[in-house]
Amino acid sequence: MSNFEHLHAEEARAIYQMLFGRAIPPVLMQRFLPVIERLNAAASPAELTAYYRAVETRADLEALELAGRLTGRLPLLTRKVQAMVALAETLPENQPLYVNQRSSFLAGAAAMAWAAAHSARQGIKGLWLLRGGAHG
Amino acid sequence: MAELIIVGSGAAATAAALALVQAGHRPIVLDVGHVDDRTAPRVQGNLYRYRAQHDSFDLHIGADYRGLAGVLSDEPTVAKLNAPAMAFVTRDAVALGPLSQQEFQAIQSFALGGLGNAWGAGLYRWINADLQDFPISLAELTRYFDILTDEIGISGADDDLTEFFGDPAGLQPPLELSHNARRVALAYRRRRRGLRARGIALGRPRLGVLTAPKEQRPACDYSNLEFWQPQPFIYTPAVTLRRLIRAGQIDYRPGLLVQRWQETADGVTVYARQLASGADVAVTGRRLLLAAGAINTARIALQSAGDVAARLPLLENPVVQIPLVLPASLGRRLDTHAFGLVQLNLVWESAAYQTILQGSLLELTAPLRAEFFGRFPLAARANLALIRHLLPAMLMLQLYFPAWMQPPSRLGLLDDGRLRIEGQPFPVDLARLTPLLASLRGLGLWTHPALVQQPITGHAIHYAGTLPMRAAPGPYQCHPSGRLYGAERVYIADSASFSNLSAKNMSLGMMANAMRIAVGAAA
Repeated sequence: MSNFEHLHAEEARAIYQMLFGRAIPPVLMQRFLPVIERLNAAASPAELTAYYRAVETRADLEALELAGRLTGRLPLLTRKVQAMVALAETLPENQPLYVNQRSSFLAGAAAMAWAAAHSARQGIKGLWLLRGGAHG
Repeated sequence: MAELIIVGSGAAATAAALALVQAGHRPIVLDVGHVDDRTAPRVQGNLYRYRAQHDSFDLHIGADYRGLAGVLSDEPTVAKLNAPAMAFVTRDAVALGPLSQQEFQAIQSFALGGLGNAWGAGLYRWINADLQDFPISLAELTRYFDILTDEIGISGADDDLTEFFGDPAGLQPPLELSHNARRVALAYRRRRRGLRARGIALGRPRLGVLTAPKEQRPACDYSNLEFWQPQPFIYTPAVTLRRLIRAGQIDYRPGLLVQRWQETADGVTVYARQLASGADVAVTGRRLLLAAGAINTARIALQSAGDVAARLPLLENPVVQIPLVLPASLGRRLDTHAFGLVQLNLVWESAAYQTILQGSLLELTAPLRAEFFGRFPLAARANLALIRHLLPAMLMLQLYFPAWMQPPSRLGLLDDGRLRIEGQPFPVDLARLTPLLASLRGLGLWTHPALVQQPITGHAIHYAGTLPMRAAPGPYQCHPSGRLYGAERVYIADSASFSNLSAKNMSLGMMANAMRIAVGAAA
C-alpha cells in the first residue's frame, strides 16, 4: 500500500475530467484503479511525490502532462493519461469522442487550428508550472 | 520407426507437412501447440458498430490488462499481439524460449500455427532478385509457389508490381480499397510515368485474405476486426495443419518442447519435454526436419551440440514507419468499412540505397484509436481532437530494407540455457529517404522526416539466416538440400536456412522452400 492510496480515486476523477470535461463513469473508475496500482509500483518515490503533489494541488494536469512529455519529466502522468484514453475508448458512450462520424473539411481544419493553439498555450503553462521543480 | 519427423507447426512446418502428405508420407509433427481456448464469443459484424453498442473492454484490454502492455511496461510491444484474443500466440514464450536480448526485440510463438496466427498475411512469390546469395534457383521453387497459391487462397492483382511479385496466376481478385487507398491509387495512375522513372511502383498486395469463399472459409467482411480476433478469411498455417490432422494425414503430437536430437546409425532420435508431466520423451525417425522458427531452430541445433561458444548470425529486415497524411481527407468520417491491414504495396528501386525496398501502405482503422494518442506532440485534449479528425486522413507506410544493409545480429547459447541475442541497430539516413518522401507528396501523401520512426531491430518479426544454406557449407550452415552440415539426417526447413533476406515479406518463399527441402529429405 502506498502513501497516496487515499488519492487514487481523486486522480482518476481529475484525469477523466481533464480529458473529457465530465465525471468519470463508475465502471471506468473501477477499471482504472488497478492501472494506478501497477504504474505506482514501478515509479520512484520522487516521481510519486511530484505526481501526487500535482494531484493534491489540483494543478492543470493537461499542461503539466504536455510539458512533462516534451521535457521527459513526469512520465507517470503521461502513462496514466494514456491508459485512461485507452480505457475510456472501450465505453460505447465515448465512441463519438474517438470516431469522426460526419465528414466536414472545415470542422477538421478548425480542429487542427484549435489543437495547435491550445497545445501552444498549454505547453507554455506547463513549462511555467514545472519551472520551479515543484511538479517534476 | 517413423520415416519423417517435423519440429514446429508454423508456416514452414505446415508447408513441409503438406508437401510430405502430398508425396504419400505421414509425418510426425512435434509441437508445443498452444491453441485459442478462450470461451469468449467471437465479435460478429463491424468493429465500430459493435463498439457503439457494447462495452469493448474484454475485446481490447482484457481482465489482465494485456491490451495496455505498451503503457504499463517499458518493453516494446506489438499492438496486434496485445489483443486478449491473441494471447495464445505468445503464451508462455518467455518461459519456453528464454532469451537475453540487447538491441533486439524477438517475438516467439509456441502456438499451433506459430506467429502466422497474428501475421499480416503478406504472401509474395520470390523472384530472382530475392534469391541473392542463395545456392538454389527460382525454378526449384516455382511448382511449390503454385501449390501454395491454390492451398492458401491468395488475393492480389496483375499490375505494376507483378514484375516484383511474380506470376499472378491463380490469384483471387484483390481486396476492396479503403477510401484513402483509393485516392492514392488514383493519384498513382495519373503520375505513373514520372514515378516509374524514379523507380517507384505501386500496386495491390498479395495477401492470404479471401475475397471469394473457399472451402467453408468466408470472404473478407471489411469489419476492421483484424487486430482483435482470428478472422476466418485470413489464412494462417493452422488452417492447413488442422485439415491434415482431421484427415489423419499427419501424426500431430502437441504438448512437447523439443530440446535436442541425436543421430544414430540408422535414424535420428528427438528428445523433448512433455509439458504437462515434465517427463522426457524420445521420438525416433529416419529423417528430422527442423522448422521451429529461425531462433528456436538455432536453439535446438546449439543444444544438440551442447555448444555455448558458437555465435550464429541472425538476419532481420530493418523497417521504418512513416506516418502519412492525405490533406484532402482531413475532417472526413472514419472509413469503418475497410480491411484494416495492408492496402497497397510500394516498391522503390532506390538509387540512394542501391537496392529494392518494399513498403506496405497500411490503413489505421483496425487498432484502438488510443494507440495513436502518444504519437502527436500536442496537449491531451488536442490529441483527442487529432484522433477524431486527423486519423481518418492518415495511412502508415512501413518501409522494409533488405537484411544485407546491416551486419547480422548475433545469437548464441548461454550456460544458463537462455539464448543471447545481440542486435544491430540500423541508423536510418533520412536524407536518403528524401526522394521517396517527395514522390509520396506527388501521390497526395504528406509527411515530415521528423515523424519517421524506426522500431527496435526485431520488430519486423522476419527472423532468418541462423543456419544459412551455402554451396559449400561449414559448421552451423546447411547444404542447398537443407541438410545440416555434419549431420546425415537433419534438415533445416524454415527461414533459419535462408542465405539472405530481401526486403520482400519472406513468408511464401519460406513455405515454398520448406516444401522443396521436405520433398528432398523424403526422397
